[in-house]
Amino acid sequence: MRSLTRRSESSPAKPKPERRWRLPVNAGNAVLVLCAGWFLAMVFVALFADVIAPYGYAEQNLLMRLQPPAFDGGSGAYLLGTDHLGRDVFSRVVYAIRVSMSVAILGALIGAILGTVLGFIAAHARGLVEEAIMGLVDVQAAMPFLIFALLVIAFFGNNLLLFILLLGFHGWERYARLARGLVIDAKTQGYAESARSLGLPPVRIYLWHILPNITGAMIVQLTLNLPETILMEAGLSFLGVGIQPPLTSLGLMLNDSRNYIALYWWLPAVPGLAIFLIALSVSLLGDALRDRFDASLR
Amino acid sequence: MIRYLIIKLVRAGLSAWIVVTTTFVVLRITGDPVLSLLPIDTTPPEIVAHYRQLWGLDRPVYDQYVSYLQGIAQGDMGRSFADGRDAIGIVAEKIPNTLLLMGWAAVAMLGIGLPAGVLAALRRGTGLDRAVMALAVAGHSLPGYLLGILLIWLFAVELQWLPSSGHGTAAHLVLPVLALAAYYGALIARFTRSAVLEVIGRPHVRAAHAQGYPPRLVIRRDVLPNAAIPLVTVTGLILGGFIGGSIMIEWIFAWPGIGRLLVTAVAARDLAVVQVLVLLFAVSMIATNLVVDLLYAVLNPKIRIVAGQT
Repeated sequence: MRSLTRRSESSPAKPKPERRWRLPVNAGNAVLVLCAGWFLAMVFVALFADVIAPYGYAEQNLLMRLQPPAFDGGSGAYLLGTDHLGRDVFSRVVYAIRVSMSVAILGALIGAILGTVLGFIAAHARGLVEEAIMGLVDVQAAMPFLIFALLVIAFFGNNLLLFILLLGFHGWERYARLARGLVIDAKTQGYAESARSLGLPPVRIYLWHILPNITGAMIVQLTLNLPETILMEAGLSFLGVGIQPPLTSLGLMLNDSRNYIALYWWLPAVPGLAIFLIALSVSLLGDALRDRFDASLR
Repeated sequence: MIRYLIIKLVRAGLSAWIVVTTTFVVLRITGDPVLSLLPIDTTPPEIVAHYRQLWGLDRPVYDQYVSYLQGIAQGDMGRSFADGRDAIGIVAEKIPNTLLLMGWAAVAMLGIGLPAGVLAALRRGTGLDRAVMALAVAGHSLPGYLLGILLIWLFAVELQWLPSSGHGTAAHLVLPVLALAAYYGALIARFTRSAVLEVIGRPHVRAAHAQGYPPRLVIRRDVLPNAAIPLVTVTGLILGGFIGGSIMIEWIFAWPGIGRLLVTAVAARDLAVVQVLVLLFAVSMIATNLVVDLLYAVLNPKIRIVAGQT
């Protein structure tokens, strides 16, 4: 709440900022603002990782191994301490946030586009094509994604591009189901009917008329899927089959820290807390978006 | 009913066949197993040819496919590339450990999740309800691997009550079971809560209350059996997540089960072992979904009749 009033005071153009903000402010909104703020901060960190991080993510200083964070009696040079190779934990977590966020967001976008396109195709073609697509949807939904991911990595090996594509498969079936339902529904509505009776080609009706109408629902679905994709990326990297060193990611940092839990608490705590807070903020935002804008998803 | 049963059985068999065939196809298109086993540059071509003949890779594809199916039927799915032992044997010796872990976790998950969900629904809007829901939301962002690390830090490092990894005694079981059960227990609590809330508002429940039956009896006789139906349908979904979750938990706690085996086999690209595990997971998922379908038909006469007619 406090951050809200402060922000509204600093924007001089609005005539009565207090009043506009006060009305909807309650505990729930305060949490939402915190979540949105945290998420934006993480995006900022991801974008400007090079500027924020004082050291490179692979830069070692073997004389300064396993230093505690500055506030826990460590040297001021390493804000969050150093790891077993003398790498700065703060710099590493900043770069890890960049890698994890961009991989997860890219993956989630690929999934959204793939699923939506297949949903449109199913709704347009009907018949056998629809049966085939929805059959694939059912298979994907029935299979634990972690096992699917492990198999793909076992069979095809691992590289960054493949890993992002793999994350793209996470949740595509939900978009496909949703898009198919919404498009079938939209086709019977007046605006689509009249566009068709004007003689517009189907592709044009889908892209210009129906797509803008269902984008809202798809974006809500995206925010609901994103935290799971973030956790899936972290989980796979944690198992050692996701992002590979020397690159870093939140899950990889957590995996590296497993042998140091007993004595060096900051090594698991920093990436663990980052994963938890990012996933929590995005999933609370997604829940709120769903509740506000789309009752049909519930 | 018989017809419904047959349709479901045929569909389950078809799914199993698709999995088996897909595995075969994928294994063949991802490269020559001989080359992934032997050093490519230094192996003389005669030796490569010898191994190809030994493993039947020089025969036509359909021939290989038939002998692949025969092998599965006879319980022979090749040898581990890593140590040359029988792949099925390697997997089989780890299964009891995983079943032990998952069994206790399932007991804990249902033992905590179901009562918590029912209580939250019955005391809707109270502090208890909010606490259960807040835990369920936080649990959604706290996957098993994070919770596992937190538990290790708290109970094994700070308090030193329980061992952090390994297996053998009951004490070794506590933390992995807790870490695995918590996430899905929270999920079940949420499902149960909404299922009970949905039933509690129905007319027949209100009628039972109006007739003056004791509230406990109404809940036991009218509310809970009806709330069980949606819960049965999500069982398959939860089991899938549960298997995935157990892989993570086994990895963190160094639990010698099939989940850990899968991760190490994937990392080493030990395809024979991976293949056995795929079929094992696929068959158990298919079997669970079959059981869920049948249970659903038993619980809900509507499904039985509708499915029998079509």
